[in-house]
Amino acid sequence: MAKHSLDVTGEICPYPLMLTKQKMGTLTVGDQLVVTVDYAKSAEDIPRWAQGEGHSVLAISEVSGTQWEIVLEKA
Amino acid sequence: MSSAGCRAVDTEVASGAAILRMMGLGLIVGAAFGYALQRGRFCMNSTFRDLLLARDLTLLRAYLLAVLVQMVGVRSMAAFGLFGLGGIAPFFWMATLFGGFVFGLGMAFSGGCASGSTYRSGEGMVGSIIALLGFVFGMIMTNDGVLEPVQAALRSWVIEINGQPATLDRLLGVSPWMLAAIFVALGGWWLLKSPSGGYERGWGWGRSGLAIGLIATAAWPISALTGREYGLSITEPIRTISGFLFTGEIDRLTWGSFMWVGLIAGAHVAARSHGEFAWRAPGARRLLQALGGGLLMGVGAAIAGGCNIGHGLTGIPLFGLGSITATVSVILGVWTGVYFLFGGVAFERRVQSVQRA
Repeated sequence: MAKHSLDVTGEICPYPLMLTKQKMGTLTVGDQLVVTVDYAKSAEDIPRWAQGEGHSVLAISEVSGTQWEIVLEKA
Repeated sequence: MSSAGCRAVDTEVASGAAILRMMGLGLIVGAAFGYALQRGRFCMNSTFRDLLLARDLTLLRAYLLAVLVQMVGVRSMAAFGLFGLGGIAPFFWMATLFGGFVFGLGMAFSGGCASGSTYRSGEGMVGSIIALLGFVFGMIMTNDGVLEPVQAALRSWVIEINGQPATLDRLLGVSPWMLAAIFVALGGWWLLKSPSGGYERGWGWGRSGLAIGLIATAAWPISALTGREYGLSITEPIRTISGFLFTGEIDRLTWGSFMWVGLIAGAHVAARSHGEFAWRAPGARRLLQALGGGLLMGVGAAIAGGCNIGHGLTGIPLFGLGSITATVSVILGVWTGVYFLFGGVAFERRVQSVQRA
């Protein structure tokens, strides 16, 4: 199991979600991905998408009012 | 001579009072709208895009609820004679098809719709501010500039039904009330059995849909007090504000101009009060992409005679065929834009998750 990270801060919609989707595609099952986002909408979209795809949403932590870290595990 | 002078003074006083009334009524509705958009993260770019991209229907539910509230509310108030429904856009089908599609492409490139870019400007998203500048540019080029002949040519095909703007109820020959009842029954049934979105950090779809629907409904009687006959829109306000700024002619300002300013302020207050305000800017490439996307949005909205708000939120509840065509075209434009940016991978879905669902 490897742990990867992806920083999509500053990106405009839909790049945060699309870059996450692309990155997840390159991981192997069981790998974790920590996505850093600075947009509230993305902090809702990304976990919702991951859940819909069957990945696990391990954690969503609020770094600050405008920054979140989402931990996903590829299924 | 003296009476002419008197009249001139009277008009000036009257127009000063009229501007103040527009300002007060516009700012209040705009501030409420901006607050609700920010808390509900109500971006129609995401709404349309995520139907395919993430198969996420959360915002579509909010949008549908807002449309249904207006479908009943606006028509009821008009039936009581509070205002007329003369604002239904003429059905220049070619202009709405083409303009809507260009607008949708622009939304995909800039990362936000007309209302989304406005409320996000209030949140400190620099990319959205740049997109709005592009919007102004594209709109003026099309309404008063080099692209004006294109707008005029595309608007030369107009379909009317019995000499009135084409609407779905007139097309089908049924009462608009019956149509509204059917949509409310079907839409309401779907919404009632819909789950909440999950992972919400702001308002859920029910609360934002209801709030936006009520604000959009209230916009009709409130703006009617200033002599305007339409609900919420974004394209017209951007046009009137830029028109005022570029010419200095104060009579270009409308209720909508102040509503738009209030929208930014309301979104700013909503973001600030929840610790969600911060200046955020993407890199140079993405900023230029936002500028180009905004430009396309401005051109498209000017050709189609409205955007996702004027057509999508306000025109659809009145069953205007122009608004329905424009909105469908916007959705197709967004999907085409996303495909152009990311290719087919954007719309792929894992097979096993479909089985799981």
